[in-house]
This record gives sequence, structure tokens and C-alpha cells, in this order.
Amino acid sequence: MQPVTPSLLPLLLVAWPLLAALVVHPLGRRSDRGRDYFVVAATGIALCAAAALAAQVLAHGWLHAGIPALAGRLEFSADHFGALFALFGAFVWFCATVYSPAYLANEPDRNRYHAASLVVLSAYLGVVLAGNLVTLFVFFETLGLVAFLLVVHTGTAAAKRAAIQYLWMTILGGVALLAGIMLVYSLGGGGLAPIPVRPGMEGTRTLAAVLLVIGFGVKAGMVPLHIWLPNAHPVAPSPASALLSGVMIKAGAYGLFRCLSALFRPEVGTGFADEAWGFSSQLGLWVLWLGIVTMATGVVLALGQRDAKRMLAYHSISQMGFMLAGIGAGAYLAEEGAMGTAGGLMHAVNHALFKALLFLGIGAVAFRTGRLDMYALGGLWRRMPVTFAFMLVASAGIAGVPLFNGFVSKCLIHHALVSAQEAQGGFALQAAERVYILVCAGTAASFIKLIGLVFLAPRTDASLAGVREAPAGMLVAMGALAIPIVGLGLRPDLLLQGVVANGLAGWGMPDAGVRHFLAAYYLSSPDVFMALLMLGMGAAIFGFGMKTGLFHLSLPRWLSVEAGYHGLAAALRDATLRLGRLHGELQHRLNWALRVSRRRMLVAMRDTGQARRRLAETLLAGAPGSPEQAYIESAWLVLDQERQATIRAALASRRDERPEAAGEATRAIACLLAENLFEARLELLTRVARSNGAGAARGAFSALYRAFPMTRAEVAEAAGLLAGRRAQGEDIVPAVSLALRPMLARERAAFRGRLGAADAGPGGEAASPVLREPSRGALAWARDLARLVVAELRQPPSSWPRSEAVDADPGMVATRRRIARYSRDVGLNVAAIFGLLALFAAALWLAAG
Amino acid sequence: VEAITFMTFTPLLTILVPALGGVLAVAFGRFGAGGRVFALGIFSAITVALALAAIPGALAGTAQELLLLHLTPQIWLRLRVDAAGALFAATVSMLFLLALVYSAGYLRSHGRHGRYYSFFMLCQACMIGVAYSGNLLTLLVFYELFSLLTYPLVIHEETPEAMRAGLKYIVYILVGGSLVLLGVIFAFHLAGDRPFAPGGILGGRTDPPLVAAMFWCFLAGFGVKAALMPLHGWVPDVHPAAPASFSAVLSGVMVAAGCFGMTRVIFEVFGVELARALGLMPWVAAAASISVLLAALLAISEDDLKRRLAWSTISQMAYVVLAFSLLSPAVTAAALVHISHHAFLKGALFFCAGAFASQAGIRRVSELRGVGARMPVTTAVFAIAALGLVGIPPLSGFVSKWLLGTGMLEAGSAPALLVLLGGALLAAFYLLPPVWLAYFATAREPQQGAAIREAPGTMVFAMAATAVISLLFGLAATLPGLPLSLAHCAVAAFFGGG
Repeated sequence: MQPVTPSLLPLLLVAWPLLAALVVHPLGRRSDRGRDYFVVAATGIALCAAAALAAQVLAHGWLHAGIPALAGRLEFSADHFGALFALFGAFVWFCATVYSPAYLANEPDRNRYHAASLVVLSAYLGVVLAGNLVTLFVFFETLGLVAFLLVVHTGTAAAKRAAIQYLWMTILGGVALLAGIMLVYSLGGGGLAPIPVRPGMEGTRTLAAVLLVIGFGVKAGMVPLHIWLPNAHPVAPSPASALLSGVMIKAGAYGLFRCLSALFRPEVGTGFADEAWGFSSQLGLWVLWLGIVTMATGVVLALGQRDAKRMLAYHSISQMGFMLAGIGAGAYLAEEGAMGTAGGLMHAVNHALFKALLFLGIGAVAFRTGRLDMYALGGLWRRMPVTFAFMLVASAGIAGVPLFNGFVSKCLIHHALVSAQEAQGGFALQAAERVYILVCAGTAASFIKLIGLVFLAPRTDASLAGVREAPAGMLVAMGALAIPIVGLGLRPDLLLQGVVANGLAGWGMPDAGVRHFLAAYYLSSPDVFMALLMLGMGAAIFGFGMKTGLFHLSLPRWLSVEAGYHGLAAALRDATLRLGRLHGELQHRLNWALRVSRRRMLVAMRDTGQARRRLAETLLAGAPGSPEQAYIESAWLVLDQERQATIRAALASRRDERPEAAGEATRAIACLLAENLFEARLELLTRVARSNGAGAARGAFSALYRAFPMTRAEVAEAAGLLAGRRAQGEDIVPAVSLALRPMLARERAAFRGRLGAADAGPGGEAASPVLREPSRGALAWARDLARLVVAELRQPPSSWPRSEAVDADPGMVATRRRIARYSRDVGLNVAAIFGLLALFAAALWLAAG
Repeated sequence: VEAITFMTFTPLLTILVPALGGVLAVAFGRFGAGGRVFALGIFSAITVALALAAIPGALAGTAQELLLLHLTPQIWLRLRVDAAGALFAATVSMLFLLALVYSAGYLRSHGRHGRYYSFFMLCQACMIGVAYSGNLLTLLVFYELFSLLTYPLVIHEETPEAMRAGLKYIVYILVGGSLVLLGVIFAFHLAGDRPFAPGGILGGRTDPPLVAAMFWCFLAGFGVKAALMPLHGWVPDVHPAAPASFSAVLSGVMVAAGCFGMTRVIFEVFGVELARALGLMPWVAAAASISVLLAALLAISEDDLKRRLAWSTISQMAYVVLAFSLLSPAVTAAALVHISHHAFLKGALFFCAGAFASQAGIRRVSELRGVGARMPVTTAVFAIAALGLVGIPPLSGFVSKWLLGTGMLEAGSAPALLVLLGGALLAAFYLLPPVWLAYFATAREPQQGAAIREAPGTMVFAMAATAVISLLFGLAATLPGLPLSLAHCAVAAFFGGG
């Protein structure tokens, strides 16, 4: 390891775009132009700072900074590799930002776009400059989630679908990554340094490695975790696509690179013969194969696309495969792996440059023509010559034309694959090498197709005749990207020797392979021949494909990984919903069962309560009296109520017409009439009940009861008339009995008619018969008192607060009457006792005296 | 003899000040609605200040004690401020203050303010009493008191749903409270009235069946409050029925009070050694794991926003129980931190849900479409809190998730980590769709939304404050005085200086 210099530069580099992002909104609300200048300046400053950082790293070795935050410290460190990623990232960002004002002029939410872009830049720089895994994770998550805003920016339905898919994949990847990082911490690691090897923890180590590869692989578009990428990258605005494809997915590649070259390797200084290298070597082999699968899948799918941006996105997947194959081979070979690692890293830089340029170029075409379908474009080389030139440079870079940058990195990776095959032996890696060559050819074919269809093919559509060259700002940005594509193709040693070899040395890895490549292989005739062969094959594939319509074949749906994911997601969603429904139903049933049992319990409680009261009543008051007696008692109550009602009716019908004195007279007469009626009726009922039994009398009583209202009306009338006569001084007593007679006769008739027996007897005349209370013994008196208490107890609790309704309750009326009676009796008794006491006292006084 | 200073009585004052506020709340009605909240706000702010003033002492490791009342010759009511208590009291008082401010805007249209504010302040006092209680009986007294005083707040709106929910609440809580009482009786039988002490109070006298019975009593009793499945039944019904300002407190700290009770019982009544020796913790862990996952799954399929948040509370609080069940220092500290962090995150979510309901009449997740443009601050706070609860850095939720995860691995429990991350992933599934709908889905009937306006200032202030606190707790989690330092201090005591 190299000496570490404390420096604030990495921290400032990460913090600056974040702070700048805060200003975007207020600035953008005032003026669009000011904001555009500001964001270009901000990314320019970031680029300068990244360059300064790289220079410092090259001059003084590693830098380190840290601030306390979250649950520990955010650590930033910059070694050669981190500085390299920061530098090219900042450069591409600057170019895309220069490009964006012209492109976005007609898009909505420009402030949001620029703010998000700056935050993502900060997050990206944070990832590549992170000094420990927590810091890396924090910025990685921020990167993934804020880039969501760039994906969804245009707000179309396609953008929303792609953004949702992107979001879920990011979150899944984030969880895997977090789990992996936690496992690394539990193994005693955490920094960007080899995790200590502990015996007995191999399982955890493997699990951590798998989780980290998944977590970083999602972002890197590694097959089979790539499904979001071809949907998300094309829907974003073109400068954002350039950033997503050019720079952001490099965060995933960077993570995988660190896994292989830092985390899972043995301590720096371990001899290469040590078996501790076995783990990272094996992991490297896995990553290599993942890379091969990824590059093949990407290129096959890319060839079938019509949409230019979608095709570029599939090529991003494919090119990530190159990087993975390179760094995988590098890790597999360990001591001999310098060429693979260098190839993978250089390809990351190269891809950032040419893929960004390709997206910007296609963006310029779409900006002017409004279409992205390659088959609907054509003849643009005349209309947009500068764009065409830049696109040509970028295509040459990605297709691996000698003297352009892609050529160098592809040769490096090819040499690494050959070395890996030699080291492993057997046919497997030989097959991988053949696949690699075919993929290179397929890439060439793809870009021959792009350039051919969009720029060179004869113009098919007259509407393309008026297309103009892209605006100057866009051209400047594209030109800036084109320069290093050519530059790195001509002077790869600047990067390979100056940065990668020194970086490898810093990690204690031999860098002889890189030097050897530069000295022996760079632009050597076999390599150039190989490159030309690939181009030739590419041209052949292109020709064959255009002739036969191969490019329009679509793969069957069951082969699509995406369909698999969708099926899985749908199944999970359905299962969740079903669980929710099941839970709801269970809860419903439980509630129902509880309610039923509660009702049963209440019924049982009521029954027991009634039984208890009946028992208490029987114990206290003896068995209930005869039915006849009970009937007469209840009839008494009803009749008394009727008496009161009659008086009220008489008063109500007269009061408003007569003066107060007449009212008093009416009242007195009505009372008299009602009292007589009451007694006559009671006597009638008593007699009938005694002779015919309670059952028959009860039936007849209802007939009598029906006659009450009529009688009541008659009494009211009669009382009014008699009161008038009395006011004139007449004696009305005979008149009263006269008035009563027809009423009683009618009621008796109704009663008898119902009773069906001619048992009326002589009574019932208007003369007032006195109904005497039967005299009772002391025992009966006590029993009645007890019954009163019981009746009080029987009142249901709900009627405790007494209301007027209760006052009209027959039970209450009866009780009141009894209380009145008993108090009178008690009063008499007390008076008698006082009398006795007085006599006793007198006797004592006399005796003493 | 200890010198009696003003500081000796701060724990008592911290309880008495909000209680006094509660008593005066009805009388403050003469100042008008705003005046009452302002006056009570002063009481609540004093409480916060007193609760915060207890933190330095707790951090220094000196537990303040105050014997309050001699009930019988054997039993004292006893207050004690240690790190865990200081942390919980500070969380409680701050969330209550914010909820009080929020109430000022939220309760405008409803009546019965006097009752609401009065019980609200009394609840605050009793919850601080729970945090500061120094022995089991004191804990029980305050715990039961605040559980019962909560009832009028639950049924505040007096709709039939609220009354039904209130009935459910009171039945659950009384059963839980009785179980706690039974546990306390067991404890008194085994150990007499001894103050809480790290390492346990049962001493050597262990009667295994009795101790196990006591453990289950406490667990089930506090589990009702902590919404541990299958004792969670009241939570999803009570939250939607209660006013949002109170739901926030209910979910944020009252459910957590059950967890806090478990902390006291596990670490200061049983002690780590005895709890481990009992061998019952795997059962607790299983129940908690099921709660985490099942509640989260049910939250996904729930359309009522407040019910969804209530399920989320069940899931999140089960993390805490799961963490306790591992009986390991790092993860216990993480659980105490999570209680505090979750309080403000969940508070923010309920504040937002209340704002959506009162301003836009939105009670269902599916109705949130396009509300982001109409209520920008509310939606932003909702998004921040949702991301925080999912555990996205740099919010406080990430810190607690990170601490829980690494702590679980330190305790050697990979399944627990799986549950934690599964819960976090499911949290994303139930909390992010509302955010997505609010911001990016187009409203079905655009003209209908024209009348929707941002919530009034007090509500916005409370929501923004919770969001800021969540961000602060995340970014500066290691600052002394913030939950992490207090939790470390508490755990150091629980595990004997470890």
C-alpha cells in the first residue's frame, strides 16, 4: 500500500455538486439562462477539481478525508482507480451538461433535471471516492434513487413504466448490497481493503461475495439483472441517457472491480503461491463468465432493435460484459492478471466516452428529426455532417477500429482471455474466447447498421430534407467527447502506464503485463489483423442480416428474462393480495364467532338473572297470589289510569273556553263522574272474575276497554254541561247519576256481549257503591311490604334515571299508591305508639309521684 | 446524605408540568383555541426542556433517583432517570410537543377541544412517568394511567367507528394491563420491592416455573401495547379512528412504551443472564419475526392509508422486540435507537396522512393520485419519512437499520438479518407506492383537485420539524446527546459495562 495523505479534496469534490444543486431551484426560477450557465460552471468546477485530485494522486499517492456522519464516519479516499473513475465521470458529466441546455429547451421541469443531475454527480463521485463500504453504500443508494428522477423526467407512460421497473430493481439491488456489506462488517472488514480471512467463515464470505455481486450487478446491467436497463436508458432525455449509460452504470462496474481487486483478495504482500488467492480467483472466474453471458446477450438483443437509443442501451449491457470479463479475468489470473484488469478499466473509460457521445449524437438526430427509428431515417450525413463525423468516431471506438480507443481495451481483454485459457486449460475458456470474437463482430455489425441506416442510406422520407445541423452547444459537447476517443487510441500508454500500472503497483499487484502489452502487442500486426477480421465479420453479419431480415426476428416470449421477472412479480403481488383477503376473511369470521358467543352469553346472563329474581321474589313474598286476584289488581290499575285520563280529557276539552271558576267546577264534576265510573267498573270486573274465572274475564275486559274512549268523550261533554248548570245554581247530584246511567248500561252490554253469559246481577246502578279494602292481617302487610321492595328491585337498571314515562308506568302507580297506604298505616301506628308511650310516661310519673 | 438541589426534583417536575397543563387545559379555553394551544405549548416546551436537561446527567452515567411516595412500609413510588429513560422521555416529550402544535391546525373543525387537550397533556405526563419510573410498581401505575387516559383521545371524534375502536382498545389494554399486574405481583413475591437494577433484581432466588410464568405475563402484557402478533388486534382499528395528531403519538411513542416496558423487564428485572438461562427468547424471536413479515405483507394489501401505517407500526416495533430477543449489546442499543428514530418517522407519516385527510379528504392510498402538486410540503415530508422508514441513507431509518443489521450479525443471528432486510424491502413495497402515486400518477379527475390547498402553518411546521429531526438523527447520529449515545450508555449499564 502507498502512503496516505490527508486531504480535503475528495470531500470537497463530493460536496460541491451537492451544494450547487441547492442553488439550482432558486436560480432557475429567476432565469433559465443564468441557471444553465451555473450548472455548466458547476460541473466544470467539478471537472477541474477531479483533474486536480488525479494530479495530486499521481504526485503524492493516495488521499484521504473523513467527516463524522450517520452511525460512524463518512470516509473518502482516492487511489489511482478512484481518481480515474472520478475524472472520466466528471468529464462526461461536464460534456453532457454543456449539451443539455439546448436539448432541454422545450422540456418541462428543467430545474428538477439539473438539480437531480448535480446530486447524481455528487453521488457518483461519492461512490468512486468512498473510503469504506458504508460510505460507498450511502452514495450508491443516493445515486440509484435520484437517478430515478432522470429516468422518469419526460413523464410519458413509457417513462413511468421504465422508472417503476428501475426503482424496484434498484431497491432490490440495494437490499442485496446492504446485506452483503453487513456481512463484510461481521467478517471484520469494512474499509476498501482486503477482508481478513478467518477460518470457519468461508460460508459467510461466499454469501457476502454473492450478495455484493448481485447488488453491484443490478446497477451494472449484468445479465440476468439487466432488465431495467434497456427500458430506462432510452426513455430519459438524451443527455441523461448519456450519463446513465456512460457513467452511472460504471458505479456498478466500479463496485465489482473493488470486490475483486480489494475486498476478497488476500492482504497486500501475500505471496501469490498462497492459497488465500483461491477465493478471489474463483470469484473472478465467475465474474468472467457472467461477463461473457452478459456481452453475448446484450449484443444479440441489440441487433434486433429498431429504436436507436434502445439499441445503444443493449450495447451498454454488452459493453459492461466486456468490462466484467476483463476484470474477472484479471482477478482469476491474480499475478498474471494485469492485462485483464487494465483492459476492463480502460474499457470502462472508453465506454463512458463513446457511449456518451453516441447517445448525444443520436439525441441531436432526434432533436432535429423527432424520430429514433433507424429504419425511418437516412441520408443525414449531408444534412448533419458534423454530427455524422462525431458519430463515426464514436462508432469506430465501440467497434474496435484500430487507432481508436476501443481497439486497445478490446485487445487487452482478448489477451487476458487467452492467458486465462492457457492457465486453466480445457475448452471452456476457449469457447469463451470464440464468443468474445463473435460479440466483437456483432458489435461492429450493429454500428455499421446504425451509421448506415441513419446517415448513409438513401433518404426515404422527404420530410428529412429540411433537417439542419445540431445547435453549436451540442456540437461543442460532442466534440469534447470525440477528442479523448481518438487520443486514447493513439496514446493508450498515458492511461495504462500512468494510471493503471501505478495503481496496480499501489495495491501490490505486478504491472508487468501492462508494460508488456504496450511494448509488444499494441498495434502489433496480429492484433490489427484480428480487429480487421472482426470488422469484416461484422460487415458480413450486417449484409446477411439486412438481406434476410434476420434483424427483425424477435425471440420467443418465454425466453425473455423480463417476462420471467414480470411473472414472478405478478405472482408475488397476487399472493400478497390473497394473503390480505385471507386475513380479512379470517378476521371477519373471528369477529362473527365472537359476536355470536357474546350474544349467547348475554342471553344466558339474562335468563339466569330472571331466574334469580323469580327465586328471590318467591322467597321473599311467597308464591304469587291466585290468577283472579292478579287480574283484579291489574284491572284496578288500568281502571285508575282510565279515571285519570277521563278527568284530563274533560279538562282539556273545556279549559280554553271557560273562565277559571268554571274550569274548577268542570274538574270537580268530572272527578265525581270518573270516580263513580271507576267503582262501578271495578265491581263489575270483580264479580265476573270471581264467578267466571280470570281467563274469561280477561277476554271480556278488552271489549270493555274498547268502550272507554267513547265514555270518556261523553263524560267530558256531560261535565261541561253540568258545570254550566251548576254555575247557574242548580243542584246537579241527580243529574250526575242520570248522566252516568246510559254510559254504564252501554259498557255492561259490551261486556256481557263479550262474556256471552247473562250474569250481570242487580248492581251497577249509578248510586255509588263503596268498595272496601279487605282487611288484612299483619302477615299480609309484611308480605306486601316485601313485594314492594321486590318490585323496586325488579326495575331494570336502564330505567333508574326516572323520567315522566316511568311515572305513567302501572307498576309505579301501584307502588305509589301502596306507599301512600303504608305510610298512612305507619303514621297511625307511630301515633298509637306515641300515645302508648305518653300513657306509659304518665303512668311512670304517677307511680313516682 | 445527598444534597438536595433543584436537579433532584427535575424528574418530578417533568411529570408535573404537563400534568398541570392537562388540569388547566379546560380553563385555558377562555384564551380561545389558539391561545389555549399556545399556553399548553409553553407547558409542553418546558417539559421538553426539562427532559433534555436530564440527558447530560444520564450520559455521565449517574442515575438520578427520587423516592416519591411511601405507599406501604414495603412499597415506594420511585423515580429514576437513567440513559434509557432519559432517551425515551426526551422522545416522548418532543413528539408530544410537535403533535400539540399540529393539533392546533388539525382540530379546527372538531369540537370537544378541552377534553382533548386535557387528556393529551395528562397522557404526556404519564408517559414521562413510565420513562422515569424506578421500580415495577411505579412503572405499572404510570403505564396503566396513560393507557386509560388514552381512551378519550381514541374516541375523540365519537363516530360509531371510533366508539367501536375505543371499545376494542380498552378491552385489549385492560387485559394487557392485568397481565402486567400479574407479572408485577410475581416479581414482588420473588424479590419484594426492589428498584430496577441492571443485571436483574431477582437475585439467586429463582423458581423456574414461576419465573417463566412471570416472563410470559410481562411479555404478553407489554406485547399487547407493543402490538406483538397475535396481540396486535387493536392497532389497525384504533389508528384510523383516532384523530391524526393523536395517531402520530400513539404509533410513535405509545406502542413503543410496550417495547420500553420490555426493556425494563428483560434487562433490569430479569437481567441478561437470567433471560438467557430461561431459554424462552427463541419463542419471542419467532413471534417477532412473524410480526415483522406478516404485518408488512398485510400492509401492502391495505388501501386505507392510516391502517397501512398502523400495520407498518406493528412491523417496525417487532424489529425492536426481535432485537431484544437476541440479548446482545449492539443490537439492543440499535433497538433503543430505532424506537426513537421510528417515533419521528412514523409521527411524520401520520401527520401527513392527517393533512391529506383534512385538506383533501384523502383517506385511501389510491386517492393520492396527483396530490403532490397540490400539497407539495406534505407530500415531500411524506416521501422523506417513507424513504426513512424503508432505510434509505442518509435518513435516520438507515442508521437504525444499519445498527440493527450489524448488531444482529454480531449476535450471530443471520435469520434475524434476513427478517430485518425482508421487512425493509416490504416497507418499500407498502410505503413507496403512495409516494409514487402522489408525485407521478395523474389525477383521475383533475378539476376535482383544484380546491385542495396546502395544510395550515402549524401543521406544516410540525411535519417539517419531524422531517428535519429525522434527517438530523440520520446525518449526525453519533453526536453526543442524540439517541445513539444514550442507547450506548444504557446498554453499557444493562450488559455490565460491556
